[in-house]
Amino acid sequence: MEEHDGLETVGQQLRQRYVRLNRFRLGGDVLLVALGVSLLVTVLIRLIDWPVALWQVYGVLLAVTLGVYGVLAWRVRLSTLAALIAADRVQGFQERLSTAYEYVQCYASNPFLPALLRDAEKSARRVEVRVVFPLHLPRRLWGIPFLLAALIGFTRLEVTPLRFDDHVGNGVAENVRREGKRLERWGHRLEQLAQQEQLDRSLVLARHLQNLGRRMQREGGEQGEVSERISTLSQYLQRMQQELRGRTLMSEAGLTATQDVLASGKSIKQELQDILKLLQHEVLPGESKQLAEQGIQRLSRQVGQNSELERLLQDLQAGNLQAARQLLQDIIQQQQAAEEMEHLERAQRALQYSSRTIQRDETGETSEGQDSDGQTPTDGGGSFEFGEDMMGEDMPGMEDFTTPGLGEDYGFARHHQERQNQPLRESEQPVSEVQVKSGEGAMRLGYVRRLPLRNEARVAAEQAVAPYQRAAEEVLRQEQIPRGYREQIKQYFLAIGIVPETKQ
Amino acid sequence: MDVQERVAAFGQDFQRVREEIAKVVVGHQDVVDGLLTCLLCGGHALLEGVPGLGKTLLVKSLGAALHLQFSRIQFTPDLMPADIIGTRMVLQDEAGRRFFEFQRGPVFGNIVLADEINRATPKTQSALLEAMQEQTVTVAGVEHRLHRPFLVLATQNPLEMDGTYPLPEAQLDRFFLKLQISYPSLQDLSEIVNRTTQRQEPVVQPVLTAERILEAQQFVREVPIASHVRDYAVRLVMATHADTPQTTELVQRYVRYGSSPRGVQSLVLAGKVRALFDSRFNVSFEDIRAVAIPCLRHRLILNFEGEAEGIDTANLLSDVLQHLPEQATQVASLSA
Repeated sequence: MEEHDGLETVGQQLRQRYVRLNRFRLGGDVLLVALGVSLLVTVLIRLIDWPVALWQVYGVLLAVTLGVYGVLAWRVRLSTLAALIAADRVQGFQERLSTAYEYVQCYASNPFLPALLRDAEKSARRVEVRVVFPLHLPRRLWGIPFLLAALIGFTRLEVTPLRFDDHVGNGVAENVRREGKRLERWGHRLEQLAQQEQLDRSLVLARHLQNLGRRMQREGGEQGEVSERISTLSQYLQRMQQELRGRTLMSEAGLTATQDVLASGKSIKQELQDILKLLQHEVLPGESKQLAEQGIQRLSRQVGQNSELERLLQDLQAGNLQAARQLLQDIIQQQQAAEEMEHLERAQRALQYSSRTIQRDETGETSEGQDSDGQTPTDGGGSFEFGEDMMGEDMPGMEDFTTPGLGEDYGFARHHQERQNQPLRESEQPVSEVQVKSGEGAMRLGYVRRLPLRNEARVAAEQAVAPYQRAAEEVLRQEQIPRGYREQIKQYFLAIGIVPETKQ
Repeated sequence: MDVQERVAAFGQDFQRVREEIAKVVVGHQDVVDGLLTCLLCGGHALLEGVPGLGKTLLVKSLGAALHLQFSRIQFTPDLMPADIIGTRMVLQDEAGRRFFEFQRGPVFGNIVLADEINRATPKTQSALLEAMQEQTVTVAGVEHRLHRPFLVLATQNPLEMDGTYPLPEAQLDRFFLKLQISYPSLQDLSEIVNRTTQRQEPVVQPVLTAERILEAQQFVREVPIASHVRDYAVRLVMATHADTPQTTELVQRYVRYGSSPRGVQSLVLAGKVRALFDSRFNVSFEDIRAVAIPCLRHRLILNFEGEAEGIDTANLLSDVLQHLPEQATQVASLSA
């Protein structure tokens, strides 16, 4: 029926317009919700410091969003009759279009139909699709750019993860919480370093350490329980070490050799990698060969006599590029493994230290003497098990990572050879503090908090200590020190290792 | 003849009837249209208005404008059913034999004016029930068919209620429309005075035959109505019931019983007539809305609270019309 075509065409146009608009609106809504969820998840991840990559989260959210949109968009449909009803209503056609369409479909024998169709066709020509279904963006969709901006901003913002120490850790013993905090911070810095150096095992370990530290701060627990947790991680760590040894097939000798190389610092690794880049060519140009030889010689000068470097140089000079490359790759791999191993050992020592500190504090042997820096003065009982090298460190194994003696800030400072070789300089701060009030009555006793740092001092330690030593000897001679404190003072000077025991 | 031409002829015919009535009756165009709607749908009309507004004149004029038999019954408290429908009388033939013969009452006409119908007793009022619904009268076991078209036009006075008998619900439900005649406007009143005080009063000429009316009645029923428009009429009637979800707060509060299914029938048929009067070939939502109040106002039964507060059912229906959406399904929100 020719008269019917206009009505069908208009119905089709209306349907398409409706579906398009509604899918568009639906897309906006889904995007809005997805952005909201993304923002929420991002905030949560950043606040609780959840160890998961944001791009992974966004990927999952994107997939879910597309899936949801696909299902919902597929369900957006409209019949031609419904579209014509809408046109009748909006454009005031007094139900001509919808009635005509319905009667064409269902009651084709009605005598009114031809006239009604003609009437409807006239009306159909006046249908404005954009008027019937206007493009109207809901106000809520204006939230999309704001949410997007907030999401980008929050992704780039550095946020300090939330700590619930005050609330959650109320029942946690102070010493456990303190050690937990240390472990967490230590783990955090190890994580940064491991990410930078691309050390996979160290990265895993760092996260375990952080988790343990957080759990100790949050839950605390009995001494045995905490020690058990530390011990579990310690065992895990040992297994990692064994696995590392097994994988790299490193002998003890090889390890030592690699550690020698490591002692020269990061620049050596970079040097090795630069040399390897030079050796990547099949035919080595004379200039590259010369640069490579110079690099190896520089390394040899830095690390001293090293058989592998010598062999590398020989291979290079003999033109055996294949062997040189292989050897260089082995050296780099060994160094990588050695770095990992060193981090693992440090972590092992840190765990031991924390465990012992907690045990010691629980028994109350030195808890009163622990100051805010976490340094532990030795008492006369001699039950402290760490060696003398612990005195200047907040945590064992931190010698190469920390700037020792800077209170609780155990930074992972790069160890540079030249820094270690810096000449001693005079400290701008008082090198030590001794507050002793002489008298027969009540005494106020202060401890020497720290010795000047070796690379910050401007006078030799012996020179700085000597006046105090003399003052102490004078006081002892005059017997102004109460008897009960003498042993403590003696132990102190013995502990710092400057005063020979024979003198006492 | 093409439908378009038939519709045009339909419009012209009834325009002529309107013009003839307008010779005598000033104004009240909506009431005239209502009466014509009843005539075309085969229904009956109840006219309500204070005395002196021309109810009787209007009906008489309608009767005069059509080639139909017109009869008038003045309802009084002592009116008996037999006075309306007729009775069997004993007659005597030339041979002196006596026999019964049915003497037809005034109900045997095409247009019956039941003037002041609420003054008769319920028994007499109910004598019209069968006539109105079945268009037959049964006397002494014999069924007598009434003339066609058959149209009862009843009038009642809402003021003088002493000694009256309100129409029972069953009787009310049989009226297709209830039309209220309002006081004429200033201009109309002036025109009434002008026409009725002249030497020669206008005379109404018959312009439409019974056959033409019966044909028009069939024609009306073929007017298309879309399913969603029909659904709207159904939902409208359902909304007059206090216990349905689509009803309004006012209906819930004041209505005891809503409209009967006859209400939907009258809505759809009256809508069809209105579409034809408007030279359209289909019924629209607007048609249904326009006829809703006259079709349904007498079918709503108020509860005690509604009666006590003097609630007008027309107001309740206006409230329902205002709140009821045209589309019950999701189509309603398509272009939102």
